Amino acid sequence: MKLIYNLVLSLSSFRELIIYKQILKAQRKFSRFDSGLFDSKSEYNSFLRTDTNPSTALRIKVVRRSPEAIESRLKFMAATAKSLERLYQTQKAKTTFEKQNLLIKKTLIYLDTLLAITFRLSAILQLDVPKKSNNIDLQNEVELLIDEVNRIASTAKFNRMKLFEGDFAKSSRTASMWFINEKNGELFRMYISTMTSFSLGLTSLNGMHLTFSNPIQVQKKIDAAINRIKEERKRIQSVLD
Amino acid sequence: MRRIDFLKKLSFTALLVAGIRNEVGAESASIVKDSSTSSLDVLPTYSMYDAEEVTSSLIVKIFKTGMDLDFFLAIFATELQSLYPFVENSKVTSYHSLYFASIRCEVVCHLTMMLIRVWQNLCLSYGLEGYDKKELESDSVQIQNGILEFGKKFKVGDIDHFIKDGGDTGEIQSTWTCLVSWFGSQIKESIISYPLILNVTEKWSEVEGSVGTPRYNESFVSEILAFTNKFLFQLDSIKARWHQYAVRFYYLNFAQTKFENQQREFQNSNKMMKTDAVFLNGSLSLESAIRTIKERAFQMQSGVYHDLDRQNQQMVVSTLVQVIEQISSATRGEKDICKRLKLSDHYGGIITVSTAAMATYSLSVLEDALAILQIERKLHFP
Repeated sequence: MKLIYNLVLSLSSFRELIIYKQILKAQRKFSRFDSGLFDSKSEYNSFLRTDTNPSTALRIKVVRRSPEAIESRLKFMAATAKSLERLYQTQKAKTTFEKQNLLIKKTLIYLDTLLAITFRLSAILQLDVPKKSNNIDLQNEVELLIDEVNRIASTAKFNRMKLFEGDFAKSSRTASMWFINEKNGELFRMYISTMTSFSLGLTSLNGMHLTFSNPIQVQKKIDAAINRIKEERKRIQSVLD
Repeated sequence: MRRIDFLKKLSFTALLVAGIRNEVGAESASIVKDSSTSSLDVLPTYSMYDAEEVTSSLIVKIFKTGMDLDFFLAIFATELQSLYPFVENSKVTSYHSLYFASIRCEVVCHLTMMLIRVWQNLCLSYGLEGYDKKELESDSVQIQNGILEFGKKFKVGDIDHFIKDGGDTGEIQSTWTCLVSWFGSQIKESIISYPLILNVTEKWSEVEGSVGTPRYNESFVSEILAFTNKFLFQLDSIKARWHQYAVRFYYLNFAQTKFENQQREFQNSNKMMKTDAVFLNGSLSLESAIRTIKERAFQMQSGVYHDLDRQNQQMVVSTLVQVIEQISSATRGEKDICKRLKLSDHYGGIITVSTAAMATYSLSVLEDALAILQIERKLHFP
C-alpha cells in the first residue's frame, strides 16, 4: 500500500476531497439517470458517506423522474466538502488558538451553505410554475433541501461536539463556548445558534416541511430564516475579525 | 563572603536550569518546542503538543509521496529509536531513560492514530475510482499488520502495544518494573500499560452471514468504520496515559539531573552551600511544574476542548501534583507542600482543570502558588 498524501498536512483535507469526489460520482450517476439510460420506473439507490460514522451513510433514492431535486442537494453538499477541503489545507489545528480559528471558520462554511440553501428555497418559491407535475418536483426539492439543513445540523462537528444542535446556543444549559483572546489572554463568550430546520422555521410545529399552499406565509418564514443565518454569520465573522 | 560568592553563581545556575530542557532532548535539537512558552519565562514548561511535534517533524523529514507503508514505518521506527534510545533489558535505569521510553510510546500512539485515520479515508474511498472490497480488504490487513509490527518495536514490559489476540482474560495489563536513582538512593518505578487488541478480520466474520446481499459491501465498510472509531477512542486514552508518564518522568529527571550536576559542582564545598543549592534546585523544579499546570489550565479555558480532553489534562495535573510532593520531600523534606500551596486540600481533593470554569478558577490559585515560591526564594537568598 502506497501513502499518496502527507499524513501531517493533508489527512483531513484529503478526507474532504474523497467525500467531494463521491458526491461528484453520485451526481454523474444521476445525470445518466436523467438522460434515460435507466428505466424511469425503477428505483435507484445510492449510499453516500460524508463522515466516518458507520451508521449514517446517506441513502439517495430516486423514485420519480426528478433527478434535479437530488442534484440540487448534491450541489450544496459538494460545495461544503470543497470549502472544508480548502479550509483544512490552509488552517492548522495544533494549538488552542488555531483550533479556535478552525472552529469558527468551519462554522462559517456551514452557515454559508445554509444561507445558500435558504436562498435556493426562496428562489423556488418565486418561480412561476404552471404545471402541477413540476410543482411536485419542486416540492420534492424543497423537502430534500430542508432534509439537508437537518443533515448539516446533525453532522457538523468539531472535536466530537455538534455545532448546530443547540449545545452552544445562548440559552443552552449543557455547554457554552468560551474562547481565549489570542492577544491579551482574556476570555470571551461565543454563541452558536441552533440551526435545525425546526428552529429556522422551515419545519412546522407538527413536523411538516414547508409547502407551497400558502406562498406568502412561506416566503415570510424563509426570509426570517435568511435573516437569522445572515445575522449569525455576521456575528461569528466579527469574532474572527 | 561565601554567601556572596554563592549569589554570584545564582545567575549561572538559572541559566543551567533553563538549559536542562535542552539536555533532556539533547538529540532532538531540531525539534521545535511550544512557542507559547514566552521568552521572558526562564523556566520551561512541558508542552501539551510535544509528541505531536516530534511525530510531525519526523514525518516531514522522511515522507515522500508514494512511499510504501511498510517502508515508511520502518524508517520512522529507526528515526524514533535514534531520537529516543531506550534499552529495556537493564533493571537499573534513570528517569532520563524512562522519559525517553514514555515519550516514544506517546509518539507511537499518535502516529497510529494518523494511520487509523488513513484507514478510515480508505473506507470512505470505497467504490471510488474502482477501489473495491478486495483492495480495501488487502489494504486493511496491511495497515493492521504494519501497526502491529510497528508497536512491537517500542514495547515496554512483556506485552506489545497492539496484539492480535487477547484471549478471554478481559483487560490485559503489561507491567515493567525497574530501579532508578533518586537523590542519592534508588527507588522502584513501574510502568503499567494496557495493550490494545487490533484484529479487524474478526469483525468481518460477523457480517459473513450477509454475503451476496446488496447490503453486504456497505456492512463490510460499516464494520471497519465502527471498529476503527472504537480503536481511535481507546488509543486516545492510551496516548494520554503515556503523556502522563512522559510528564512525570520529565520532571523527576529535571530535578534529579540538576541534583547530580550540583553534586559534581559542589563536591569540594562545605555543607551549607550544598543545602542552599538543593533548596534552589527544588524550588525551581516546583515552579517549573506549577507553570506547566498553569499552562494547561490556561489552555483548558477554551471551549474547543471536549470533556475527554479535559479529563486527559486532569490526569497530567494529578501527576504533577504528585511529582511536586515527591520533589519537595527529596529537596526540602516537606511532604505537604501541595496543601500549603493550595494545590490540594485536606480532604484529598486536588486542583482541577476538568471544566473550563474550574480551569479559570485554578489559574489564580496557581498564580498565588508561584508567588509563594518566589517569595520563599527571596527570603532564602536575600
